[in-house]
Amino acid sequence: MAEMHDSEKLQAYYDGELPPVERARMQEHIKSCADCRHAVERWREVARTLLEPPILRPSDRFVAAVMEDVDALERPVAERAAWLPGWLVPSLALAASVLIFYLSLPSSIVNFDSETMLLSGDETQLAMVLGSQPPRPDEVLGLALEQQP
Amino acid sequence: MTSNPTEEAEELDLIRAAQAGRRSAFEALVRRHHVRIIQLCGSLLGNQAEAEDAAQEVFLKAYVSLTRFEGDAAFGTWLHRIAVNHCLDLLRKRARRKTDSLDELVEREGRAIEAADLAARLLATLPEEQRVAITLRETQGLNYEEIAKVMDCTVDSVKGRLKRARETLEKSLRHFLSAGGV
Ligand SMILES: [Zn+2]
Repeated sequence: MAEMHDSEKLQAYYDGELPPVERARMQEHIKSCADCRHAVERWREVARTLLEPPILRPSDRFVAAVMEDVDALERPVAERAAWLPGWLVPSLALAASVLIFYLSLPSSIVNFDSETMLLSGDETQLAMVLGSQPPRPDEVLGLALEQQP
Repeated sequence: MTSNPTEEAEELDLIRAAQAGRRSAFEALVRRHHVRIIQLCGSLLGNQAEAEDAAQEVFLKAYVSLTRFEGDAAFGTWLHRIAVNHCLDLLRKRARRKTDSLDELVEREGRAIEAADLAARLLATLPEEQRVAITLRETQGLNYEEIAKVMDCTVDSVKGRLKRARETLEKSLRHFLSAGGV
């Protein structure tokens, strides 16, 4: 089929993103076009060699371990809540839970970059570390992307 | 990451219950998603040994900010987002430690480099956003729209990132093969 190469469409085809009609048309094109066929084969090769998902057998203890951490987070917060004025409880509980979360992790696996965030002096980042405002995932992503060189 | 309507409704019930503080509901959510999240962490970190620890922290972060989840994206997408951010943090810390370049490694160990090590090293040469995009697509099987949600970018950016990632990986793989590896 005499059709122009369209590398964006070809990639969409490879990624399974084309609607059925366009998909069929691209399939026809590929049959007769060695360039496009080879491009798809190379992408497949890259994926097979470098991006194959590992075969995983998560440890049987994984879910239990997460729940133990969750329980450890909740316990002190509940105890504290008993003797504080009601209006203070939510913010303190939150601050405490975030703090306890970081303290409760073994130092070798504390990965949240609190050090950098504290040193940066940026208000949002400080708030995230101090827990007055827990990070929304998109905020964290925003920071993550901002910080790259 | 797409699931059927019944599963989605069930999941929404679990999320509401977990947000209301029911422990067993959060546990059920962890059970549903942990394999994929561990897999994602392993792929992004290029290290299976660290994957479970990282994923454990991801679920804790999710727990702490659970009330912020408003259901505008799928819960799985939201978890992917937390996992991506967390792993990027870990990778940045790791980047501060010096590692051999691929060429140094080939010279030192020749053909003995393991496939997983090669994959991790070649992926590490990609800019972060390309590495994340290609991992979400090829390893996790997310579609363009889901990737855009996880990465908070447009579908067009996703396409561009995938295209550039594939070009670079293709070149490095060829370079590595011609240098006598694997
Ligand atoms: Zn063509």
